[in-house]
Amino acid sequence: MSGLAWLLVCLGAGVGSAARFATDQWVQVRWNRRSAVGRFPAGILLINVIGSFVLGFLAGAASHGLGPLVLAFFATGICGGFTTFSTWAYDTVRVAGEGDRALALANVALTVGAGMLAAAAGLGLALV
Amino acid sequence: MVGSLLIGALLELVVLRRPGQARWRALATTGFCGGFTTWSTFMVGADELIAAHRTDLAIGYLALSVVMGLAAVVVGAGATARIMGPLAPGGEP
Repeated sequence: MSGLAWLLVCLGAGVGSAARFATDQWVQVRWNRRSAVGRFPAGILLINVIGSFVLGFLAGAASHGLGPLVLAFFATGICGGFTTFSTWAYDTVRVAGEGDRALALANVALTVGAGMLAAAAGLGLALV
Repeated sequence: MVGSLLIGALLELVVLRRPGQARWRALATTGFCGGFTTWSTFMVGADELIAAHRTDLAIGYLALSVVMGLAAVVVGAGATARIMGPLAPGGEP
């Protein structure tokens, strides 16, 4: 990887991670106040679905010749930094550990299912 | 392709050992683990396997990543608890 691509990944990941932090805080405060299942990690679910859609779109656009530096910043950097596997896994285990197995299962099914559909929709949109 | 699945699963296994560390919160979890692991690449990779008519690999990729990722959190949290004593109730990353 070139030095410039490396720098763009770092910058994009920083922007994406900060956006994840801000989005999660914003969503979770509102979710906790209004939902009967306030422990459900709705913020991270929303983030992972949105990020999967955008990365699907970028992956489709890449086959139309989107440049490697653009991909380094937006795909690897921003989408990679915005979405997260570790927080999702931690939240799932935490919710299950609090005795709510149904909520943990719902988090697995919803994040995988909606994420797959969102990525496919993004890919499809780019290939239209 | 099988190699990339294994690398993905192994990387997630290694990284996910950290979420048990409640004391490092924002830097170690939101920043490092959140930035290091990804969901979007996982989803697009699985979709591309389906598009390449390798639904079997896609299902294996999804199942392995999910199961190993969740197991890694349990292992990581357990290891931290063993070393540092149990986490306070409600301790989050």
